[in-house]
Amino acid sequence: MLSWWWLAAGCAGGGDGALPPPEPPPSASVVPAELLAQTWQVRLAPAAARAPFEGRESWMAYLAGRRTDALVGFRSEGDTVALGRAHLEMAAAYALATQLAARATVQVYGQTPTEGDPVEVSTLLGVSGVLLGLPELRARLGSAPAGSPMAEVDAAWKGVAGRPDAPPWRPADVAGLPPTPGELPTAGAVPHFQLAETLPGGLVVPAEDPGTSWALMDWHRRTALVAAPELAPAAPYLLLPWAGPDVPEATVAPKTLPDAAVFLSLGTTAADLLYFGSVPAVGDVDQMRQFGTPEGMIAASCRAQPDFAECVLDEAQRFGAAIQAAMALPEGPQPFHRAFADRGRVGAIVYAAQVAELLAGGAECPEQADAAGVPVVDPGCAATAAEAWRVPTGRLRVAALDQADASGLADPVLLLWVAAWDAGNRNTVRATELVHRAEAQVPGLDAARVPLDALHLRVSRNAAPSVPTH
Amino acid sequence: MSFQSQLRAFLVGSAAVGAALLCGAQLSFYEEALPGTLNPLYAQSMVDFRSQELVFDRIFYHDPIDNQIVSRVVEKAELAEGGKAYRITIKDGLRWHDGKPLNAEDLCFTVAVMLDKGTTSPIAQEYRSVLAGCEVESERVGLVHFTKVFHNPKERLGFALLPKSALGGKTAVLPDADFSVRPVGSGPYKGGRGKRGVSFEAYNNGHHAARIGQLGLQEGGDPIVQVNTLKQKSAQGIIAVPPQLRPDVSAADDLQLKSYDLRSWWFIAVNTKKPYLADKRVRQALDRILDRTELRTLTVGVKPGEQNSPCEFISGPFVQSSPFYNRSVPTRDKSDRAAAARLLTDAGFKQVGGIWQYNNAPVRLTIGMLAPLDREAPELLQQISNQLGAGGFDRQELRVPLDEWDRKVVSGQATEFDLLVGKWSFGVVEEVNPLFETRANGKGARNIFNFSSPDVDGAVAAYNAARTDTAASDAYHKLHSVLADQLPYLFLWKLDTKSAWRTEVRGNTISPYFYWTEVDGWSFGS
Repeated sequence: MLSWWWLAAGCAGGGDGALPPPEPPPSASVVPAELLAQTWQVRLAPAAARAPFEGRESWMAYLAGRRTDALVGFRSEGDTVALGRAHLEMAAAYALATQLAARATVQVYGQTPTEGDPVEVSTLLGVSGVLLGLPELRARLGSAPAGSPMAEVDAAWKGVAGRPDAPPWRPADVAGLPPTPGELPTAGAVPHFQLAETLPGGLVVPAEDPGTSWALMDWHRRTALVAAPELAPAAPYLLLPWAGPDVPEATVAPKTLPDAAVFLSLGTTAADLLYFGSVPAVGDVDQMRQFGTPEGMIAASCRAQPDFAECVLDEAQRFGAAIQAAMALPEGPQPFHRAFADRGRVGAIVYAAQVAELLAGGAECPEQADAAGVPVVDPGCAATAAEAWRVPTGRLRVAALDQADASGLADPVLLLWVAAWDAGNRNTVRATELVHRAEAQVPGLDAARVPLDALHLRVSRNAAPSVPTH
Repeated sequence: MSFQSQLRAFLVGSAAVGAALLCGAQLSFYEEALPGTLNPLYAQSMVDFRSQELVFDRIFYHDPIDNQIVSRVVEKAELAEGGKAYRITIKDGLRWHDGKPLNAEDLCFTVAVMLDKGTTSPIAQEYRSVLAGCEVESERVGLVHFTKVFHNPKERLGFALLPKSALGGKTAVLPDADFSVRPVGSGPYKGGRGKRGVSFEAYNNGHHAARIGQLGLQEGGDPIVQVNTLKQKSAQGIIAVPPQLRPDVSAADDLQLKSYDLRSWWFIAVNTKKPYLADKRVRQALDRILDRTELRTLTVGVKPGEQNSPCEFISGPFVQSSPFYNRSVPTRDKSDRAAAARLLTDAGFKQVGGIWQYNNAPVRLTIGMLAPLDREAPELLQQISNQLGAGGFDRQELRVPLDEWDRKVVSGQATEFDLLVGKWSFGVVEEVNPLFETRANGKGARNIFNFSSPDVDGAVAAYNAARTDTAASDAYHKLHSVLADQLPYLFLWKLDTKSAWRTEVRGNTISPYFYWTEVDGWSFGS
């Protein structure tokens, strides 16, 4: 069967259809040949291996960035594993939307409160505190006035101790939706709240509980396991890099994943996907080779380099070139090889950014017991680590986005991963643009946009004076 | 051999010509145009802002990595006088490019320049609502006074420091002085503007240690030549790569495509002072004659239905991702010539021999376009003209050089034009008041055709008076709605900006809006 991937991967090529042979990389990738051979790109390069995915509208839609079409397509094709994977990716998107909404809420009403803000911002901050693991904000719950539009939300979340397995409150138009694989619920009538400003003659402020995105995340997580129960052991690991703190982990990570769960992903092997964002991901080169994570090896090999980010960017390019060269071995170069290899390039950068973030969070700092005997990360070490890894974390996030854009890779999880980080940094120009781009592929993302818009308004109106420029 | 391959082969020779112009510079890059001025008070274009960022220090700026407000020149800053003042200690050992020390005198001089009404700078004028004065307390300590208490005073001190000594201590700084061409700054580079380019020499200061010794800015010509020059290693960067060439850059392993965060939208301003354009029905007709989908396909290269397009239509003066954008006002993607004809007829136009006439005379539209836009959207001017021609108008087209745009168009003096195609760019602040307010008493300073409408002025006034973010948002939603009806502009699209850099350029973090803020960390080598 003539491969149709080249039609969908046209954005990766710049030219006239004639393909030069892939040039050898200037120096070899740190990823050895035996690991390259385990990447989905190389394993599925031969037409026969790729046959189960060929000729399917669902995978074409996925490659083109039309995730909602892909999900619906997986259902109609009866591919339960791909359907479960797609729902887990939507769960990841909503997990990031939750972080984005909660961080934006904290920034606008917690960091820069303004005269006239509605009294119910305490509830919004309290819910954000639960979702972000910030006890000082969680303590703001319980102050919504009786009869307030948010009284029910406030009471429901006040009863939650840590971050819940399931949201204690959902909007009426999200609540009670049975987990139905292949469906794509929205957030309903957004915004769900109109809160009165406290200034005389004040207007009403559109507001949204960050828990709405959390409810959608929870729905997709449960629905994924209805579609593909065999993904249950892997699901917490697959969600871990995106879902923020306190996500319950499986006791033992599985060692493999079905191809339908790995194909076209940013992780080149099952191990890459399963160890994104977990402590083993910070390991050394040999450990990563043992785990079978090529992207982990790249991050580990750059750990000792003076400029971690630059090293990773170089290695990611070499990795992509090596993947392309390995893909070309059985049947010669094909137009789609570049698009597939680009996923490895982007994935390597994302993985390294996750490693940098773990290190910035003190992953390798010793713990010591606090006054209550609870082990906490040594604060001095944590502060040093945070400053040392701040710049590499940020540079790699932006580089991943740039590489993805250059490759035509429109992954809403990636867009929201950067946007959620931006929201925490009050960088609303990029965050609003990324959310806008992701909206077409993540129904219900408008719920997270409400607090982000509020943050942008506040940042914009309190910034240094500026004039339009041509 | 395909057409594109033949074209590439032909243009390699042209690239050699381009390369010759760039010999001698250690790191060379193409800009959209030459800067009009290197004086930060009088920046008119994004080229100006970017170039000035190499030469001057802003007192406070946003770290492009995590958006924290930081400073390279301030050692310590603390609130004073109940929050209405800010005591700033300048770092020790800083120098201007002429070797003189940078101290609190310069800080207070800069504030005085901003406040002096003899400084006819629109940027300074904006700061007059924020700054109240400055006192030198000691050699390195200055006390900046504000007009009111701000919870975030660092945000209000985002302007460039100016040298008191080099400007002769005169606080009324005008745009035409020698300083605009050979400025004295404290930034990482000394700059000097020539006729064909701008060269920047690294100046190692106490607070800057640029690793690239020399930068060479050239005005970009044909974008294909620019990209080929980049591939040939005769230049290292292109600030703005047109969308049609981005796949070419992406496909090259030794080139990187990088995001440059800027909110930019394109428009066609309409001269409502011309009698045949004064009736809003005529402007609405023109709006319906345009086929934006066709324009975008033919000039920017975006195919209909393309996912993740860098070019998105707009219906008002904001990008769609902005909370100020009124999402209830739809975009007009396709033409509707029948509706246009009805509107023109209702407005008293007659069509004779296929050409519209007003007061029994054929209407001939003089259409201008900011010349550098041709590189991002080739043939846009011609395509707009073609569509208006197909809609029954006679026309002539003219490209407007950047300096003429700065001098005449922005100041409302380009009254010979009927239509002007341009682009506005914004950072985090999206205030559009200067574009649409009635030009009077310092307001409407960028109102291209001196448009005036009580409804627009009312919406702008409501925005200015807004005490809460919600009120401001509502006011701008109203403004969007009014402008979409009255159409002093035909709104086209927003277009993302992407830069291209060779991979030998390392650590090249691009700052939103100002671009070069982190140039100290850039390096250039294999």
